[in-house]
Order: sequence, then C-alpha cells, then structure tokens
Amino acid sequence: MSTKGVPTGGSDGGGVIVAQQLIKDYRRSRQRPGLLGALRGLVSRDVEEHRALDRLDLRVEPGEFVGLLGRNGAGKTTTIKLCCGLLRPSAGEVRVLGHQPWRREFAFLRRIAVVLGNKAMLWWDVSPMDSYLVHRAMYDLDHDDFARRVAGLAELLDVTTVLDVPVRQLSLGQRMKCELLAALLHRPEVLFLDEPTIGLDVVSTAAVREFLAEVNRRDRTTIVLTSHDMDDVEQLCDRVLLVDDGRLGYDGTVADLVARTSPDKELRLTFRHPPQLPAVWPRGTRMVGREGTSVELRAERDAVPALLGAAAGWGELVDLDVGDADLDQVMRDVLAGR
Amino acid sequence: MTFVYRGDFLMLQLATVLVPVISLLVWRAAVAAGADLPVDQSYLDSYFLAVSVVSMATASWTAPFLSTSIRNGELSRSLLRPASPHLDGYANNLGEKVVKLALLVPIIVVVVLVLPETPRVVGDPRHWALAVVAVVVAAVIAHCFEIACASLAFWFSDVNGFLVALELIKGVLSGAVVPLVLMPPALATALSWQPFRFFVSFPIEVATGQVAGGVAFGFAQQLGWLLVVGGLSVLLWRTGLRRYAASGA
Amino acid sequence: MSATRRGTLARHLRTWRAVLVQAVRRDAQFRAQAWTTGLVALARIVVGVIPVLVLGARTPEIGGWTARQLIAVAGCYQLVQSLLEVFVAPNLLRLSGYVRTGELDGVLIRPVDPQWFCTFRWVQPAALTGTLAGVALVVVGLGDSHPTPGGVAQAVLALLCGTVLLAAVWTNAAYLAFWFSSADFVHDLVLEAFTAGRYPVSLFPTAVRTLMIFVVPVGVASTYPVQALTRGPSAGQVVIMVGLGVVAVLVTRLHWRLAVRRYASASS
Repeated sequence: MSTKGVPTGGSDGGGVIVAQQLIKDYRRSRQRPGLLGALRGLVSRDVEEHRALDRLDLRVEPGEFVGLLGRNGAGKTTTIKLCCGLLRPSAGEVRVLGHQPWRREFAFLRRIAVVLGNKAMLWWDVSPMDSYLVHRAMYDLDHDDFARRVAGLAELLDVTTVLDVPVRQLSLGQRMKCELLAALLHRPEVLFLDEPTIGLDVVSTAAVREFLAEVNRRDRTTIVLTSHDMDDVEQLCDRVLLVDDGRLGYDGTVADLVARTSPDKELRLTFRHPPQLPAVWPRGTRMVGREGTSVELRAERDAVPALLGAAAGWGELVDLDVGDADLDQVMRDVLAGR
Repeated sequence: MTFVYRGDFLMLQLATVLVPVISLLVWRAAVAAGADLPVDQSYLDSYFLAVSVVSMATASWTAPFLSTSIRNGELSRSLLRPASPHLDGYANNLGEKVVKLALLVPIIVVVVLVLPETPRVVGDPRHWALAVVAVVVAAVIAHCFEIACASLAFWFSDVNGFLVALELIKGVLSGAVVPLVLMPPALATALSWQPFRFFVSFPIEVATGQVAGGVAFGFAQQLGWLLVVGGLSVLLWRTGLRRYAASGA
Repeated sequence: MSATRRGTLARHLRTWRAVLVQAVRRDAQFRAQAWTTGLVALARIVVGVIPVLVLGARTPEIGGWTARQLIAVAGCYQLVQSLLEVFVAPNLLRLSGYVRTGELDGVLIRPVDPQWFCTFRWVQPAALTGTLAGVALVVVGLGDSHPTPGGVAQAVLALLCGTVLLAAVWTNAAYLAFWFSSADFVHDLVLEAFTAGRYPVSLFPTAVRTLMIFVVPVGVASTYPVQALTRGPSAGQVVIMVGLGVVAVLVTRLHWRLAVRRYASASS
C-alpha cells in the first residue's frame, strides 16, 4: 500500500479525523471486599457499564491545529486513544487518515505520532541520537533523509549541541524538545499531543509553542492537542473542541468560545483616591474585587458603555483596563453552567 | 487487593521451597544409584525439608535497603528520629518472617505428603529445642552481617553488585545449596570453620543431632562468630556514620 | 503480500539490531555497571554448577549419566538460561511496570509488533559472560565423547527449541501482570523451577520428569541436547520438541492478544 496519497473514504471528503456517532463504553467490575468477596467474585461479578463517549461526532481537516478541552474524565483522553488506535470503539466509527485506527496497520501508525506528556520515549541512559537510530529502523526511514531531518529539527528546536549527551543529563525543557524531535522524525501527518508543556519553565514553554506552530504551518501537520494550560490552547489552536460528558460541547474558534459563553468583560478601574462606590450597581454589573484605590468589575458587554459613564462620577479615574475573561475562566463558567 | 498480595507472597515461598525439593529428589537418586555418602537418606530428607525454613528464618535482606538509603541520603531522615535507625529493619524483618513461616509450613506439609516415598524426619525434641536457639543466634549474626555489608555504602558508591554476588556465595558456604557434609572431606573440614556455616547448616545439624565437631563446640564457635560479626558491624556502622555526618550528606 | 511480509521481517530485524547497538553503547558508557553485571552472571553459573560437581564427585554414575555428562547437562542449562538473561529477562521484568504505569501505550502506537517489541526491546549484553561459561561447561563435559553430525544437528535444534520453550513459559508467567495487580514474585518462582534443568530428567520421579518436558520444559533445553550428542539422534524427541515449540508460540501469541484486550478495556 502506498503511504503517500491520502486514501479517500467515500463520505470522508478528505477529513483527517472523522468520527461519527462514536461510542465508547468501559466495563468495570466491582470487587467485593475480603477473601469471601474475592471467592464470590469468581462465581458472579458486579459489572458496571460506564459510557465514556456518547455518540461523539468529530471532524478535523488537514493542516488544522485543534485543541481538545474538557474536565478530567470528560472523555478527551478516550477520544485521543480512539484516534491513535489504543482503544477500539464500542459502536460508531472513527477514521484517521482513512484508516480504522484500532487495526493498528503499519501504513497507519507510520503516518501518525503521539507524544504523551509525562511518559518518556527516549531512553534515559543513552543520548537522544542513539534513540533516534532505533526510530529510524522502526519507521524504516531513509538514512540521508533521516540525517537531514534530525539536523533540521534540532536546529529549529535549538538542541543541536545536546544530541549526543545522555538524556538523564538534560534539563526538562531539553528533554521535551528531544521527545518532540523523536515524534516528528518520520514526518507524521497527524500529531497527537497530550500535555506537551507540562512542568516546563516559561522559556521552554514558549520555545515548544513556537516550534509546534512552525511545524503546523510549514509541514501542514495536523495537530491535536490536549492541555491543562489554557495559554497553550489560546496561542496555538485555530479551533477548540470541548468534550463534556462524552459529547462535543463546543466546536469553534477560541474567540467565539469566549464570546459565546462569556459575553462579560472584565474591567479594572483605578482612581486617584479611594472611590465612592454606589450602593446599587448598574444593571448587568457586579464587583469581583476591590483593593485600595482600584476596583475589579465584571459587566455584560452591553452594559459596559453605561458603566463607564457612571464610573466617572465615583472619583477621579487614573487608569482603565478592559479585557475578555481568559479561557481558564471561560472553561470554568462553561463547565459550571452544565 | 490484599488477597492478590498474599498470592504473590505465596509464590515467593513456593519458589524458596522448590530448589531444596529438587536437590532432595536428586540426592535420593544418588542414594538409589549406590553413592558412597557419609549420611543416609533420612538425614538428606530432613536436611532439605528444613533448609527452606531455616534459610528464611535466618535471612535478613536488610543490606540492599540500608545501602540504598545511605546512598540516596534517605538515612538522614531516619537518623533524626529518636529511635535507632535499625529499629524499622528489625520490626519489618520479624513481621515478615512470621507471615512467611505461616505460608511456608503448609507448603512443606504438602511436599511431605506428595513425595513418592514419605520422608522420615530424624532428631528428637531436645535437639529441636536447641536448634531453635541456634536459629535465633544465626538470625542475629546474619542481621549484623547485613548491617556490616550495608555500611560499605558509606565508602563505596555502588555496593549492590557486591551484595548480589555475596548472596550467591553465601548460599554455597552456608550449606543452603548443598549440605556441607556432602562436600569432599578435606573441603568439608575447612568449611566447618567459616562463619556462613552457622547461618543455615549448623542449626540443621543441631536439629538432626549430627553436628560435625560436637554440639557444645559448635555453639562455642557460633557465639564466637556472633562476637566477631557483631563487633565488626558496630565498628563499620559507627565509623561510617561519622564519615557520613562529616561529609554532610 | 509476501513481499510486504518480508519487508516487515527485515524492518523488525533492523530495529532489533538498533536496540542491540544502543545497549552495547550503554554498557560501554557505564563500564563499572557492565562489569558488575558480567561478573554476577559468571558467579551465578559458578555457584550453580557446584551442586552438580559435588553430585558427580560422590557418584561415578547416576541414572545412566557419568559425572562429566552431568557437567554437560548443567552447561546446556546455563547456556540457555543465560541467553534468556541477556535477551529476554530485562524485558519481562519490566512488563508489570509497563502495565501499571500505562507505558505500554507508548509501545502500542509504534509501527512494530508490540508483543515482539515487549519481548526483545531491552538487551543486557554484559550478561553474555554467562553464555560463554555455559559453552565452556558443555565443552568440558563432552570432552571424551564423539558426537555424530546428526547428533550435533539435533542438539542445536534442542537448544533452540529449549530456549524458545523456556522463554514462552516465562513470558506467559510474566503476562500475569495483566490479570493481577501484583505478581512480581512469579519471576522468582519460574526461575527457581527452571533450575531443575541443571540435572538430567532421568534423575527425577516419573511425574516430575513429565513436568520437566511438557510443563516447564527445561528437560528439552538441557537433557535433550546432551542425549543427542552422546547417544545420537532420536526422531521421537524431535517430534516432541518441535510440536511443543509450535504450541508454546501459539499459546503465547493468543495470551498476548487476550491480555492486551484486557489492558485496553481497563485503561481509560
């Protein structure tokens, strides 16, 4: 089978990831306590069905950078695992690059890459380069192309000088960069990232983000990312998918998500002297915090102009800051509202 | 969870019984082939049935843990506590032995029942009582020995390989692998003087009433080794600890 | 189809060569640790052969075996045992960790056969000292016999089948990690059971002898090769060991499938 052309399934229409009515049930057997319970468990077992995904529809186009968000246990890990073939759907269908992932064919696995945030793929005791050579054999890479690829990615990630240093001597940031390099050696068309910046310092986080954006832009690699760091999602993803209770709760841009779920604006007003605040706030406004001469308010979008007019009467205004609630806050609101 | 855990422990005890049972069967074959041995089959049966219990009861398995805690600095924490840092080791050791014994004894009973020719166990109750004393002394020597070995970690960075090799050699010299009495005569005499004999072989010799050199002399030797090994462990531990404190690890 | 399959095989062999190179480079870097591994493997063999030497010294002949042939049997056992220690053991000992921490996910997303990868990924080249010692024991033990070419061929086949069989038994035992939350001591149990292979099967009662061929087939790995070398080939043994080998590989394959299915449904 050719690994170059994208196989086109009838109704896929070229979508990189297409999930239809995807259902995943887990069976958990409850264990009764004690020896007697264990023995009884041999005869009959309390089996509990848990639906992790409930008729999920999903579609990701080539070259997209998608953020997958959701609470713990909402189904985002299950979604990722179904997409890279670690799990088999209970019902419904998922196709990635035209393949059914759970079949785990070489032609499929060869075209994807998965970086599981805190699980190292590189061997601690040897240099990254020694591990890359194993990848070269495993993915059947051409020697010259491999050498060029390593050099190019290493330069982009600024790890050229550490490729022959044992991994255990590298900093966390360097290690993560080397992991990313390993994941991209075989030019995957889809990259699944689970918490790529977890535990990294600010500088490394920025470098990793910049690199991922570059890979997405230059190689047109489709990237699906889950992260607890909302800044990752805000800065990188064109599109976010919010999985909640096993369903797709939201699908759209970050800006739209912010606008739709939280029309509120956050205002920070600073006065020269402690202000005379009104006993009754204007409609659609509430105070979030107060500190010395400044007040923090949250107001519905439409209420802002009126609020600003009124604020002039509370004291001499010296500074004004207006912004959208950040994604962290939005997520909290969305999830609490359910 | 605990059920599963115990299953795992049971497997470990089965493993410890397996090698002596294999040896027992092999030496029975040797007796049947007319081998010229200084002891009879009932002695061999008793020896190999007892060896797993005595090995377990006198084993200490403290050294790897202690040396690791010296190396990674965890020792500092237990030094802060008001009790001796070895107290944990003793308590853990004793508790584990009780659990292991409870699993080991039924296994040995099953072995006795399953063996094609039911073994005749030698020795009378007085010998057995003395043997218990020998086991207790052996356990103390073995524990001191482990502390002495672990103390080497104060000076050397990696002693685990040494500990594994020592464990292997100890198996032979203590008589856990082959009864020392079966060794070539000249070698057997030499082996009767070394400390490891008193870890496993000597208590079983006492139980079977066939002590090379006599019971009283044997106990005198065992106590002698207790003093030597005990003194050595105190010396190594104390000087090592002083070094540890000085380096501020 | 067959072309793809050949390509797959070649790729797996190249991958194996790459992990081997990696392991050698690692040992070259941690020389002290490699020496320790090598010396401990050697010590294990020396200690293991002592009971056989004592037995031989006490009995000129036992169950139709001379003292020197006993050494050859022990040598074959050590040879096979140390091959397992070099190529298989470091993998099987890691397996329960893979399952517990979910690291197996990192294997399942690779374009290689995951069972193969979980069995051969890690190599411990320094323990090859034990293999050399095993060969030396076989040579010493067989110094005065004159094997036929057919005997030699069958001995090699027996060593091969024996290695596969013991690896399969141990692997299946290691897969218990998929079914039980703690079964680490199963390795101790299996390894101690293997030590019966130091002695010829004919020294044991009939029931144990059957176990040593059909359940924990150490007899195939140690008694069969020496029998082939000293007494010539036997068609019956060839049938038994090849048949057992095929069954063992199929069972191990099936067990892996079931185990991974359980792993996938248990993780979330």
